[in-house]
Amino acid sequence: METLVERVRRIRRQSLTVRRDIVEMIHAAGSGHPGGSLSCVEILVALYFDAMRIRPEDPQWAERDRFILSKGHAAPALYAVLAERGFFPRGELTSFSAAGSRLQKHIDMHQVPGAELSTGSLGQGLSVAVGMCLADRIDSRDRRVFVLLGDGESQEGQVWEAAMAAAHFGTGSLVAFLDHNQCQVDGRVKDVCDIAPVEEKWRSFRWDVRRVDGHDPAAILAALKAAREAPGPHMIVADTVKGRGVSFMEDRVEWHARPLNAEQYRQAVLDLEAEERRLASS
Amino acid sequence: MESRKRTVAGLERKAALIRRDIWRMIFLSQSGHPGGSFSAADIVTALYFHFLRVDPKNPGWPLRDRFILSKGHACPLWYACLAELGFFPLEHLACLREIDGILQGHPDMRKTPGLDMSTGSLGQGLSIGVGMALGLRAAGLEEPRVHVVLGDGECDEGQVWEAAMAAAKFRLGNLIAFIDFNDLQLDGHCHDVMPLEPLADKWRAFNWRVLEIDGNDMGQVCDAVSSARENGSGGPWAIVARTVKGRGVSFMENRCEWHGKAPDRDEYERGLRELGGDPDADPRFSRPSGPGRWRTAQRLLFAGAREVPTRDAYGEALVELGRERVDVVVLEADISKSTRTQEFSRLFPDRFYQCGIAEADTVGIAAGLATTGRIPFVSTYSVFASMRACEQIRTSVAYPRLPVKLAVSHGGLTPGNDGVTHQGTEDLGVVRTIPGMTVVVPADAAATKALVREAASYPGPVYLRFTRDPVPVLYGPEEEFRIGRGKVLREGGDVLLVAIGDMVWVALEAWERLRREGVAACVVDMHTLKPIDADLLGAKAANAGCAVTVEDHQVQCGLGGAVAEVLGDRCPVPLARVGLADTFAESGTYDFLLQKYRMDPMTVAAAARDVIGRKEGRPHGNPR
Repeated sequence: METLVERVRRIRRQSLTVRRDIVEMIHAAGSGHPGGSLSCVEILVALYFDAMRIRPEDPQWAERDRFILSKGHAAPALYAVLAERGFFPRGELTSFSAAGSRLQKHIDMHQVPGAELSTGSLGQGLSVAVGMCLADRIDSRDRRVFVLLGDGESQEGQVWEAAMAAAHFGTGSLVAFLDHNQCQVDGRVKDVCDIAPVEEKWRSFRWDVRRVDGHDPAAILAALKAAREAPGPHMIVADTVKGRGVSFMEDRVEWHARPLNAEQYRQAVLDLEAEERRLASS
Repeated sequence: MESRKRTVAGLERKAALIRRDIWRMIFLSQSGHPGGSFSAADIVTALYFHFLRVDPKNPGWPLRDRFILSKGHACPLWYACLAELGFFPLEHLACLREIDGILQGHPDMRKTPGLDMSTGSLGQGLSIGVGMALGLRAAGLEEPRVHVVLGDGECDEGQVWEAAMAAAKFRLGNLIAFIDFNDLQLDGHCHDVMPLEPLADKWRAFNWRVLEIDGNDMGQVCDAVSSARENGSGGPWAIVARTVKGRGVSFMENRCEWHGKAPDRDEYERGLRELGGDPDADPRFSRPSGPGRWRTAQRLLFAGAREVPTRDAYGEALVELGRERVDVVVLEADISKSTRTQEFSRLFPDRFYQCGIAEADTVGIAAGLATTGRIPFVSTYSVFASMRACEQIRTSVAYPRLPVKLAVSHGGLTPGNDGVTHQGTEDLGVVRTIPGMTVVVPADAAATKALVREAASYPGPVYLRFTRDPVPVLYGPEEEFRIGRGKVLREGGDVLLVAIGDMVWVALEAWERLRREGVAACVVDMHTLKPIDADLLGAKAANAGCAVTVEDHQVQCGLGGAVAEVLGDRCPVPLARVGLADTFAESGTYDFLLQKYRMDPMTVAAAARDVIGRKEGRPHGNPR
């Protein structure tokens, strides 16, 4: 049995691999959204490698937990995690966004093994997750549905419609994460249209709310565990850094959707390798 | 202190007068929404008769305070205040919701003097209020305030929270929102349909200043409005006003069924007495005497025919499906009484989801249910499903090819006197362009029952559109229908009449008129707009040599557009399209609207004569 410390170290290691894959995919494709992909890595790894009940060899397994990447532009992060978890060969990752590839720039559920919903238009994922929870209730299935929302995405009214509905229907099996990296395409969230105070908003919509450092696997695991024991629906506000792990991207709005040139790619790999060495020696 | 007392007492008397006028308007038109008009009456009376700086002689005065009734169905209240202030003569109040009138079923700012905005589709008013407040600020006008009255059920709509976020971001001190919290919406109590509490906390969490008051206590209303208007820099302000739906008439108070119902004579007189009025005294306004402009259209085939709203047949079909198939689930957006899903909800509560006034979310939830092997039927009005949730239908339903059935009521002009906001006259064109979408409009009750059943088993998403008003029954209960296969109702070689939905009977009436003139028309019920029966169309058009399309929809993009596409590809012949000619309609009875907007049998027959005249080898002629 893996101890908590070991789990945390493993998630950190796996997150680094996923970050390298993300950088490589977007560099190879010459297009993609690195900032918001890198900000949510620990959350996705904690879910797919720790919290979620899934069978990579049987993506349609009826008892599986589900994950919806509502901020569908972070597709590279999901693809990297799914490949790492064995849903499809890692070699396929470099086909990201290429013509004929299964790995569309935004997710197509009918093409990607393990992807539960086609997303890319912000604001729609939480509603669909509510529907999934309601179906599980009819089937008396003990499954959970996880959703990752962007912070800019929370400006969409549909998110609040779904928030109200989830509380109304008492969907306790629903766990949403907010990837709160504070940046969106046009600038900082607080300048574009502030969503603060985030926790109060979700509480006033009658959600069970927690706030964590979204790059701290131990905090994420603890929040998931606590959410399991409290009545839902659950919101885990994860404070994250856009572009996390790549020095020149961190907290920089302009890295929302931009490819890396050869020099930037080299630098990104160096940054991630340095982090790997730090991790190995710690 | 004395003066405040006098002001409050005066406003209370005024509010009673306004309520009496509302009561009479709705009684005379036998249509309208009394419950929500009465709950907000004290707030709106206080605004118009004490706070708002407006000029009845100059409704467009740039320095005026702005007022938006976002819960537009309470417009009798708005109209009564404007008439009393002199924006237009009181007599108009006798013609609420009538064709050619200035008082639409839901507010139309281009028809009624004094309205600052057209409303009626819930959830949109606050965004517009934000825009007005920004515009006034940009123009350097510090005095005018923007006042928006929202319904409580309306706060289910996500757009309200988008606007709430934006108003706070822009620090709009000149914006005051009132939430008429009567805790009742169309389908029941808000706390059952979609709980809003803690509502004041929600507004606070969206960075608004909040006042909580009894919205039927004139003193509290006045204090709250004064405070919000005087402390603009701290805004935006939300006044959460606890009210009683139907306040003022005992048998209406807190009764959900009075959301949209007119009193009969006995109820009118009892109610009027409770409101301090005298039924025997001369009324302030009465219906104009003498014949109106419009007459009930003469029918040749369907005079006295049995008529059924196709939404009724949908409700029955749903119940049958619910009994037969456990995978059928139903999602509703607070109008189950209107869409006729109520019986299903009663019989199969575990498979019925009341999602509140939140169409985008409702479609998304349906998509989620569909991913698990369910067959969700989503019901609301055609205009809200197809347009308010259009992108959700496209991206969360059609793109993932999920078998969500959008079964919608109030198609075309059949919502009649509700007016433009509730008439779905662009829906078919909108949904038809979405890849993988099947679009079906049954002509009558029998067709509805058969096609709803077909749709449940049909792969992928299906859009089904029903009527609010009754339409003649054309088919027997045993008639069989296949999605994608049009039905030939009459054979004839002179002209092809292709009709859809509630216009099939209109085409048959036209057929009879033409027959009496010796013209043999072929009549096709093209119940499936997409995939359209191109083989049938091509063959019949080739045989007749000319065609007329007949639809309760804009003539562009709907049936007329689809038929023109097919004929252009396969068999170009002279074509006329009968339907709404790129225009919005208005409030009025369905029958009168069909005449006024040239969608009646006479128009179809004239169009047929026109295309016959344009056939090759014939002299060009336009009989009209």
